Amino acid sequence: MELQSVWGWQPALYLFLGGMGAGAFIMAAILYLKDRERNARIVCVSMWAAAISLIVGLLLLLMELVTPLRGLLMWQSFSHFTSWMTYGAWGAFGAIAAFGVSALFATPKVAVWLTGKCSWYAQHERGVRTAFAVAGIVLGAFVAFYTGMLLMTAGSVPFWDTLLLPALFTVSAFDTGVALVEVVAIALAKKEAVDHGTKRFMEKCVVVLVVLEVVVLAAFLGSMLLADASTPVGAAAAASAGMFVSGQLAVWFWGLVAVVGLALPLAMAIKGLLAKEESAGSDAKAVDTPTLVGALGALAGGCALRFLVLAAGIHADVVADTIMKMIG
Amino acid sequence: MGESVNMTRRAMLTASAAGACALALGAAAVSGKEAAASEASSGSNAEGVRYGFLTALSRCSGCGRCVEACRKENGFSDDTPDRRRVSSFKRSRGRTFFISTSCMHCADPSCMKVCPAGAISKDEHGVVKVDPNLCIGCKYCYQACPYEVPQYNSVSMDKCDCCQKAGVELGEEDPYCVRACKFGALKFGPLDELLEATNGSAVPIAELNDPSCLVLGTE
Repeated sequence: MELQSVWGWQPALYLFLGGMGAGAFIMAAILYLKDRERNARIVCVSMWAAAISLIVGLLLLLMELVTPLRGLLMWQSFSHFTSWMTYGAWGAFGAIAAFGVSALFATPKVAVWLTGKCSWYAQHERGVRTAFAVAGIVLGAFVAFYTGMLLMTAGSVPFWDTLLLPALFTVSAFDTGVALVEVVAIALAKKEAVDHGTKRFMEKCVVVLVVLEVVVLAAFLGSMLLADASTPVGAAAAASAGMFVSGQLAVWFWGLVAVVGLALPLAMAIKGLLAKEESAGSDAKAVDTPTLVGALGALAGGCALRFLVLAAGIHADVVADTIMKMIG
Repeated sequence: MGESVNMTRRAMLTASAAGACALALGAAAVSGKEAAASEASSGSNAEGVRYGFLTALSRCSGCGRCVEACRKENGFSDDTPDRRRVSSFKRSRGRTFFISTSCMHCADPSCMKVCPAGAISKDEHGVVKVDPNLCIGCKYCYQACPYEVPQYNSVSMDKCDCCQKAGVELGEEDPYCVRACKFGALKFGPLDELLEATNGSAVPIAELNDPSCLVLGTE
């Protein structure tokens, strides 16, 4: 069966980077709101990583446009508010602003310079950073949800035409976002070891999110496989889901998404949670290999999920259905 | 169950040569009702009248002349894909049927709804058009179209506009694809008149988005 190819690798990577960036900012902002002193370096680098992910994703999307320069004229090119792409473009724009400003405020040199130059900021730093963190969480949640809504509201691709898809992409965005913050924490371990409580918190998040993602993914694929195949729309939905579970995409789905992207991070997070109880006092600055393996697996699986969902998005052949009924 | 295939212009021209000869003989017997539809279409351009296409399954030879005429008369650049396509459908026992389709000019066009730039509009005759000066080429309209109609060149999305940019006045003359069809397989005009001319036996090509394209069966 022919795969969807009109939207190529750039939109697929954007859906991943946008979701991951949004999820990473939300995780970093939560860490900041939980404790404003601890893990400052992890929060700062994670916020920068989130902003850069979203910017790179949007640049990739611009590359996919027939006229990228016209796409940059946002007030003209994203002015039609019956389209979810318009809401997504402005939402992503706002998210980049909120992520970027939060990352700047979290950067020690900027904070020192700003508090020295602006006494008002020095007095209200905590409140300002909290406001931007909360705004970033809201906009990040919107961007994560939007990546799925963009596909769903196309409306004519049966495999995408369900609310379970934005639900899946949102959970996966949070999951990959936590993974990115874990990778940042591991990369910074020698300069600033993540505290034990934060590590456990992120591992618990991974367990909850992976379990939730498995449930939503099963509901999504199940509903598609059980679609009424006697209609062209139902047949296309079932064919797309069939590609995932037993067709031409099955190796990638089971290998990269199910095993590497879900089972591996779940196993590593559970292993980490159990190990912490046994050896809480181990060297915090050593590379946490199980967490790193689980996080990289989650990132690979989340990326593969977007590519596979896009590739399986075939249209229903509604004209053929009419004609074949006519000619018998 | 039969099978359906979308064919390229070149393959179509080659494969359909023999069938075209056979159908040319039958084409002389264009029904009076369909001829009346053609005449009716040429005189009606009242505002608000919904125009569309009628395609007759039994008459299309799959010759691809409509596709060629569309390209030639609309002055396509080399990188512009065909606006019209000819698909073949094989009956479970033997005969192959052809159908020529382009934009369905839907009553409820999802391409228009999802376009972030507002580059797609619908005129008073129901013809769906794209403004290449506004289109950013995001290809969302392709994903939203149930008929996979929008195509893209190096400038913007491109689709059938019933030859209006090529100078055809709706109601005054037919689009070039219709004029190129030697077998009376393609008609254009007010949708209600096209339906009436077939004595109500033509059916919408599908249901999604309420397309302005009727199909007349095998008679």
